[in-house]
Amino acid sequence: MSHSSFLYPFLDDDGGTAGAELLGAIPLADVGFDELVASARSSWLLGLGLDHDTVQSNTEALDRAATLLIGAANAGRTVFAIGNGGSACDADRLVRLITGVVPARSLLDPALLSALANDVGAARLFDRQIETYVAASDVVVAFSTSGTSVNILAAIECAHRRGAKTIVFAGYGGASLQQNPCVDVCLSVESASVHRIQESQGALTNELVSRVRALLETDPTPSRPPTEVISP
Amino acid sequence: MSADPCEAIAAVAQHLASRITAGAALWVTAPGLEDHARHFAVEFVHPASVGAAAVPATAVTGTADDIFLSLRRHARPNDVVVSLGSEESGFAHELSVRSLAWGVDHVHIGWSCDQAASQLNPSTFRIWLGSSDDAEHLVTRTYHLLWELTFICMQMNRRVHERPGSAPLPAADERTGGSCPVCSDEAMVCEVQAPTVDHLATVRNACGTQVIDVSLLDNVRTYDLVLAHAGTAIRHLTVGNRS
Repeated sequence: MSHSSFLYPFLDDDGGTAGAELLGAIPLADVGFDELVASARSSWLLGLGLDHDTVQSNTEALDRAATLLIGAANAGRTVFAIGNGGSACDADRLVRLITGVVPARSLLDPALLSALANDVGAARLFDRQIETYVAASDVVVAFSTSGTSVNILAAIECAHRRGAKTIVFAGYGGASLQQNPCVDVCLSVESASVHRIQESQGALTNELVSRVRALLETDPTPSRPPTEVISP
Repeated sequence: MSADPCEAIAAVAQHLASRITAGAALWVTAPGLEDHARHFAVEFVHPASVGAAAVPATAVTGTADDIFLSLRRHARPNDVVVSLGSEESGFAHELSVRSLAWGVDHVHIGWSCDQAASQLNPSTFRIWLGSSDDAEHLVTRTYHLLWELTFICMQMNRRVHERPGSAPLPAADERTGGSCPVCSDEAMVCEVQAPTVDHLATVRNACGTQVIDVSLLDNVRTYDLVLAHAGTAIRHLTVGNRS
């Protein structure tokens, strides 16, 4: 087993049957085009089913997450999204989909991230930014497949300490984040495959954005605080 | 309407594995959906820690013109450019034609609400996700599977058995992109690289760079796409939503 098997179990070099998770027990030398198609279709259908089941099992959590986002918007606060690697892209996707509905931004500027990684360490990529940008009643949304990333855990703890609300997308059934006292809402995916987790987190994201839009249509005039006008 | 993209994913994976093994780089574009372009690139570059060579995949972002400028400078013949997104913007069509002039493969993962607006150069390998903007959420699953199958193909000592009748994409100098409307002989898609002087223009096409006669055409400008035959530009090409 390689040390990355936790993330990508099908990558293990096991003497000619690598990829077995994708292709069943077929020796790689015998893989033909039809087997590749069958593998793709199997994973595709598995993913669609997981999307459906995930949205169903997170109904109540989705409602609470949507309420938190609307609350932030009504209070004139901001939603901050974070994640590592592909999850960083998924955080940016949430921001893309929800901007215009709720004030949102990601904490993923490459200059800042590289500065922090170089000078402080990868474990502090996000909590240092949260200390700087996030205040009470803001919302921090974290995307994690493993649910155990050190910098995500530090970010959630920091956000909670500052009085912000926290929403976490996590795989492996939510891992330990379901019981983390710093997590207000955990949207969990019951899978141990990084790719399938991210895909179903995308389905959860769509559903969350849809619910936020629906709530805003119900109450289209949020009680935002008046904008302060500063005289010259 | 949703689509079953699995055959196309498998076919593109076979081809990517072949191209990557031969040294190709991947250039990934998704105007307006840059998060997907970056995610695609992350999948192919990472993980390097399991012993598999990281694939040089790069997300190219910005406006359509920014992207074309970047690809023009960086993509080399037989590299693969990938576009993700709706086909209605015209970006994918323009990229499909410019790819011919640059001698690179073009893979498009996309959808279109308006089938009539959906037209790509036939040499583009398309993974079709349906006729609804809802298809956007299927993009992530598509490039995940593409990476998984490409990796499997690359891991094998020999290429996956080709499906009978499935033709791999042609090499760069075989993708000429059109035919002469007069004699039906081969014509080349060319991108103008330098302003014309004395009715001559330096162009780029699948065979490299050459100087051709553009005296038959009016207003030939840098980065215009023209069809050329026997060293002569015979017509301007209209691409995407602009000409």
